[in-house]
Amino acid sequence: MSAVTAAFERLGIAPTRDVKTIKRAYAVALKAIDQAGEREAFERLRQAYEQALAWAARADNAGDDLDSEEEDEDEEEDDEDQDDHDRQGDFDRPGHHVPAPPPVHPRRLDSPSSFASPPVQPPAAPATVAPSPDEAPQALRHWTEQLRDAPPEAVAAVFEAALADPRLLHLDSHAQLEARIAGLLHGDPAGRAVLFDTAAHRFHWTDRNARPIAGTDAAHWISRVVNQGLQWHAQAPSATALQQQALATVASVAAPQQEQARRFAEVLADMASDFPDWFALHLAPQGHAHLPAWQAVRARLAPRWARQAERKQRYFGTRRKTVNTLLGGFFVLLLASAVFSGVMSRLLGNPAPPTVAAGNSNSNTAGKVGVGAPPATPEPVLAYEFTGAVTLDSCESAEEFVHESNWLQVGDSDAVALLATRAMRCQDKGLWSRKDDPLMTCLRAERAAALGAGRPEEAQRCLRPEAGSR
Amino acid sequence: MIIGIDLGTTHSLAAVWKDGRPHLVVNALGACLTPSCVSIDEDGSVLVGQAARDRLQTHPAVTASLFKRYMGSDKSFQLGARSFRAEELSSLVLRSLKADAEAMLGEPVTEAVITVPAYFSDSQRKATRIAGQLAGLQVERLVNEPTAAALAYGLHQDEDATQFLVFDLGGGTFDVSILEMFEGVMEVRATAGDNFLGGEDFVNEIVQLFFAETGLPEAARADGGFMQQLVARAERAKRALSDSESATLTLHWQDREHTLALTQERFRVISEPLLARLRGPVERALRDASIRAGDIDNVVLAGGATRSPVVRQMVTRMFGRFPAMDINPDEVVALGAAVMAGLKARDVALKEVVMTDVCPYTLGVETVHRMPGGGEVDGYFSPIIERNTVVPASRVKRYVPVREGQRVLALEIFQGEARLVRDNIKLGVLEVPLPTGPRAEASVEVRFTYDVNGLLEVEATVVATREVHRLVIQGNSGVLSELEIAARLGQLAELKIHPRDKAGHRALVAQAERVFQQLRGDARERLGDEISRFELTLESQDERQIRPARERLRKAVGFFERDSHFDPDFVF
Repeated sequence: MSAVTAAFERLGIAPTRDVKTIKRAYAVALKAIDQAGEREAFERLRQAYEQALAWAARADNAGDDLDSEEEDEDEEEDDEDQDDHDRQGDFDRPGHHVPAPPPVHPRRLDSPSSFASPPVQPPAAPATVAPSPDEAPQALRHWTEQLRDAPPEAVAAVFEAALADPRLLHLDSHAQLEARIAGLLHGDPAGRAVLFDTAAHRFHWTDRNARPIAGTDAAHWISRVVNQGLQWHAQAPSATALQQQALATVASVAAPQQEQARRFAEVLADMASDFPDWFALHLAPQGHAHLPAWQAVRARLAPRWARQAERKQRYFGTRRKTVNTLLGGFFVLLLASAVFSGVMSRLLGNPAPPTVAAGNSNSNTAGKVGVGAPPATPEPVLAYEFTGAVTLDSCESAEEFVHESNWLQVGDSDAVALLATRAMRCQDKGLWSRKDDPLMTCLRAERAAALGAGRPEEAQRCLRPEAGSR
Repeated sequence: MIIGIDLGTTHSLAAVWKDGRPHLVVNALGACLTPSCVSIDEDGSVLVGQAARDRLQTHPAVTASLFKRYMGSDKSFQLGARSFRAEELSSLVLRSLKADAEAMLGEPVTEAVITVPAYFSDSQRKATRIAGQLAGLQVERLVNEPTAAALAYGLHQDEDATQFLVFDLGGGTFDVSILEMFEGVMEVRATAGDNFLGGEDFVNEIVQLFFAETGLPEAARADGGFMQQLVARAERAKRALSDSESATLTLHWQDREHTLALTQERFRVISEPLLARLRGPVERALRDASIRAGDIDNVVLAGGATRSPVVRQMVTRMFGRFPAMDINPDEVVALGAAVMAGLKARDVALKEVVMTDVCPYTLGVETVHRMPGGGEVDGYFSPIIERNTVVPASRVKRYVPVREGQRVLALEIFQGEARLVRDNIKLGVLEVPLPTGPRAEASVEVRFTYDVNGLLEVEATVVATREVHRLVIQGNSGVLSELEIAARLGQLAELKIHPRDKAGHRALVAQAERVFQQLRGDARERLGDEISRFELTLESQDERQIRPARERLRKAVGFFERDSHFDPDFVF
């Protein structure tokens, strides 16, 4: 029996996508429970209710089937429910929104509508209190342009002015402004870090479980930038200072001299690979323009640097290496003297003990092997943070990821555990369509192994699912 | 009988559920609103309510107000020789409301439902419950204020399914709740708030403006009595601006007259920063409930500060619609508390009504994160119960110690929305001793249980040994322990409470003294004579003489108060 079937059973009704029926059943069951006294019964009911609602909201998803008990659905009902859901509609699920006139609901622009339906009118408001209908879109356009063109030092002031605009006092206008800013940033992030930070602060993008009002892509992008920003800040101060310097230099220098390139090119490349979205946001437009030249210099000179570094490393890479080298030299000397003494003794007629030479050469190679990182002792996995909200979108993408990607075979247990956490959360919320997912079972085992034993060498890796299990 | 109590920052009210509807309790002075003020009289007895409020100006050293803002903190209020905690002062207000309810019902009252701002933290809620305990009331339930307001409002609605927003701006706190109502179920979808934003802040803006504009020397701030007078005048002016275009404040300090003329427009300008702060919680609640402002069917106002036209204008602009006006915003929370009391008593009239609330903030513990580069960073907030989870709720998460061979796992418990704990509020620490053995086996299951009263229980289970540790949250001096409560209860019992049947006389004298202090010259002398005359008559203890004397003084006070261009206080 699937979770959804169980949920409907708990509600005491046959599975249905009619939200009203679900709500009525929930209301009836709720009235029979003393919330304060029967906490567990209440929690079970509540979970069943949320699962049933989530399932009903996914009515249009073909992959979402409930065993075989839902033939009683018809299209008409489906549409009605969708409307109902849409009315309570989520900002973070633009994919399910009815398309609307662009100036009024810009956040829906970049998301395809899931079904055809007449456009929704903007909320009607008494003429005496609300500004006239076309004033708000005008103001939105105006301020979006202003923010787009404002130099970084003026952004905060323009932002404040936009928020204080009497034409935008309506709460939904601010929501639209947020969506526009998110769209602007996502579309052209170069050098807009100040705008991003200001907007993030005002619209709580940096909160845990933040719900930016933006198109799906932009919302995901925002969450990535915020996460990368946190990771960036967690680096050592010397590293961040160097990276800041690199950002500033690449923005002001079109063609780097060898010394500059040597100093910063590697830093830039690291930033671009470790914090790609954050990097694109913090690099000024000139920087983006100059970057290819820098990369070219790097590509040209990199082999030479590598050779230099290798040479340096070989002789005096680290203090330990230095010591080893010296020790090695000493042993070579010993060896030489041993050989010499052997030769001498041979010459003098004394047999030489061969073990000395063997022992010496052994310790010599051991010294060389020991250079570099100490053998990595794997550590148990800590509590995992699941960043970003558990929404339909995030669950769908996680599901897609699990089923499409083959990197689960990669030995990165942290990543597997993180993904499993996400998947289980999605399943708990009833947003995971594959009920008896073999991959989920495997992921659970992986996660348990990661959380419990600490190191999952012994745990089996999830393999790519057989074609039949899809 | 369970009574419902709205224990407010500036005013408190009680209500009871009777005959299928809520009734407000009338106090000894015939009013429904009892100011949340406590004063110690010359003879050492405790005065609560209007008399204490009047004495704020005449006897600031022995009078306290706005103590709700310090619930759950260590602050103590010095009233003459004794010092009180906020819980104790609140308990005195509760005791007075309890006496009023008993007088009205003719039966003893021992149980109560008390409302708290939705954004009240764990320790503030515990302090409120302790205040009830100190007042001899078994606190059956703590209800969030906007939720209570929604209950009172929802009972009037016959519409089948509706979504509405409660905008609760009280004297000291601001809460927003979004509710959905269907099939008799009232479901809180999301709640947000600001514990330090209320009507008093608007009054404070007027006070600051008075200093800035009239050239009143800063030294006046140190004069407690004068400041209370100024605050009271500013409060009056604020109320006056609800009805008229302008109001004038005139005060004397050290024989110099200072006058400020305030227009509605000016008031709106100086209130701008506060009005802007109203947006944040509303936006957050909408975001969390995933609905647009345009989808809200109605906006319900609660809290006295929503009477102010500047606030109403702001609400109207934000939502593009006029808010609902059908219930008095001062009373709606108390009425809702009475409905909750009725629900609690399983009253038949409420058989078909059920309410679910949410936890307004995220609760979790501090964790260490492993960075992609391999470093470890501490100070991360790992949530266990997400905000706006329907309560009661219980959630478990498993954690492992950071170091090998760690003997104690210190669970630092936090409340808040930031990703890093340094920006959240610390609730306490639970130290869990760990068994010896490899770190990976020393994992601990942490269970958070958030009950319908908004109180948190923390339970940590060492997985290997099934050893359970429960938290009475420690390291939080803001909450009294059982022993301390018993001690405080003993101390409070020693206090003499001013007799309820004399409350009318006492309040009149307090009012007369306040007016006396504001008068000058001849008028002052005349009112002084009147007060002495009344006090002499009181000593006779002859009701037949007292009644006409009291009427006489009341008229005199009324005359002089009008004479000095005061609006009569709305409570009377």
